[in-house]
Amino acid sequence: MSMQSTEQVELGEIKVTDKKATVLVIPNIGTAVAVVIYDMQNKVGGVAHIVLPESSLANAHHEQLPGKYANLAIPKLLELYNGLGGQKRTTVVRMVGGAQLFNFGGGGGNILNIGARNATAIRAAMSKLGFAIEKADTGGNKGKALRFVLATGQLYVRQIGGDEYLL
Amino acid sequence: MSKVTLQEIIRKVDRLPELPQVAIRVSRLLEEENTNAEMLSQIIRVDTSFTTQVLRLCNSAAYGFARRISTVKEAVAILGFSTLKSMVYTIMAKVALDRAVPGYGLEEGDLWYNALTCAVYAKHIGQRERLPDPEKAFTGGLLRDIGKIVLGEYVGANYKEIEQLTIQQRVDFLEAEERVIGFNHSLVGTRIAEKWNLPPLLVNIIQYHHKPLKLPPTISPIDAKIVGVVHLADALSHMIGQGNGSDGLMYCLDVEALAKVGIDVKGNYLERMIGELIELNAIIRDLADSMSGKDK
Repeated sequence: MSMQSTEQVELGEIKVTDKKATVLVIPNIGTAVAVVIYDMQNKVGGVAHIVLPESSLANAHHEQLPGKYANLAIPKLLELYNGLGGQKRTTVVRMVGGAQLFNFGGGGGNILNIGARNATAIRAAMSKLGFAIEKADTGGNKGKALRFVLATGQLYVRQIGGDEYLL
Repeated sequence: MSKVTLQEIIRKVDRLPELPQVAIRVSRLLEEENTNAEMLSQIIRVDTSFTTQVLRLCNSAAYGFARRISTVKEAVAILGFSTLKSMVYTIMAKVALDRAVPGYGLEEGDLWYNALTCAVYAKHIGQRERLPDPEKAFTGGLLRDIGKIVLGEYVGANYKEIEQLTIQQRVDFLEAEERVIGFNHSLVGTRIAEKWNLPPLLVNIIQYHHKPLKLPPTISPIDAKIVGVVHLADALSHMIGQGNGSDGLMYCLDVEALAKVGIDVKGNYLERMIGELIELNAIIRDLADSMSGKDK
């Protein structure tokens, strides 16, 4: 396992690869959602670290991150995935994150539910392209970390301060 | 558990490492009216490691100067006092915060990175909110969580109890810290700020960054707004998940307090702001790298 190469997926980034030694990691996901796509047979996989549900609020002049908005990130993720030979029938999609700020007594109402809206927007964008989310670990008030091992497709999740488990 | 006594906290605060003398002297000079560039460069030059840090920061992409700055004198002239001041605090903050705080689930570098993130976000929000000196929000963002370096040990020992309280009683992490330990990190941070003789606005930011509504009525409207900006930057950096710990999102963003200091976050403000802030992450990474000598 000493040949593994670990790469971090930053906020708004999309990384797709067919290099089996790759481990994609995100050390801290808050209200953002990481979408993890994997072809079990061809061992192609990727992660999109999506920050916001949709791009209508975007200021076109300083948009540089392809994975920032769910509605743009999902088609882009699939384009890259298909480009490397990812096949729909052997694909599994999982997602992690989408936490919400704890706000008891602070007001704010639905302006704070960005995490949940991210998850909903991702499901919608995926379903539009004919994919379902097979496993999801979203919601709550805790940040999470993930580690996606391309060689096996295993997705490890950890709540910050807690122990790792397999999703 | 039995609650921690004030004496014990003070003892721990007293045992914290001293900040670099040169940084303290420069920050004090920068508060004084008749300070000039020559006085500042003379003091900075004497300490070579501090000089190196200042020059590294000046030449990082975050400050975006077209040509390479190679002397302290040039740096002082080109930066202006306000930027120089936040740079000096950045160097001080790294000494204090660049350590693991396992009690909060923070590995080495996490607290420091979160501080830098909050600082850059606070400055950006401060510019958006038309603060006269957004650098003040920057330094506030940098130092707001200083109390965690002392309180972390107690949070770690009582984590289960604190977490249970947030779940069962629906209180935020700060409130749960106070109920279980007897202190929260804002109060402990205030002690540290006093020990280090930080200016009054910074002490206020550290003490009230979770609860801007509790600010003393004597505070000026502009200073109150700065505290509000830091509160918002703090909440957003936790939401975005940059280097935060096990207290994570158990944070109460006080929308009404923000409105009171003149920041209206209703509608799609937060979403729009998050969209802007994450574009700054590359700059934050560069700033952190340049300070640890990883830059070109």
